[in-house]
Amino acid sequence: MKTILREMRAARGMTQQQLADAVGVSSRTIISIEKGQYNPSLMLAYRMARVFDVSVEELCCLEENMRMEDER
Amino acid sequence: MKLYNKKGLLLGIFWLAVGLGGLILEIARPSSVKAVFIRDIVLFSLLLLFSLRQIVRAFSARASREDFLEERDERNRYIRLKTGCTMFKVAEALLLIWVIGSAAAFGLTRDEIWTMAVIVSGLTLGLLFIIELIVGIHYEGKE
Repeated sequence: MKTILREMRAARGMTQQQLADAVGVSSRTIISIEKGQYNPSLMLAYRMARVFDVSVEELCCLEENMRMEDER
Repeated sequence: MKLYNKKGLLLGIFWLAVGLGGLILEIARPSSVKAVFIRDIVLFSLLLLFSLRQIVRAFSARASREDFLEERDERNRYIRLKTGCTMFKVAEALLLIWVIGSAAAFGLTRDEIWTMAVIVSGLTLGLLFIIELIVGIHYEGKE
């Protein structure tokens, strides 16, 4: 699943480890989400959205991802 | 010294006992095959080191927090689930191949040993199917 996590993190000048510590997961999980290899749980997505003060919908590009899924 | 990870300590003590016990047994009654003796010594020594590391980590606040995070991490849990599921499917498939192979071998050779192989592996396969069914029913009601 595509997300704008990397962009949001870079904009805040946060490292992957700092974000991982803030939401209580390992840095490998953050790396996987940024690469689009792992889909975060709803709760983790919400925690990350809160860190960046955006909605889950925005962070996880839900509209775009849904469109892509429907096209498949 | 303060204990931060009780579960880690208990696991460490358990593996320490297994490693020490195995090492003592292997030294007291060494295997006749030298390669097996060396393999066991290496394996039990590694287990001993691993258990000691786990015990030491249980008393460190930082290491315990890391271990706790690693254990709770949702991606790690997902990977563990997927690994277990794949392992089960592969074991089931291998067993099925073994049952068919044994039945074919019996058909060709008429050797009684293959009948035993078919019965034992067939029963194990049946048991796996029953376990899968029970677990499936359990989660169907729970999730």
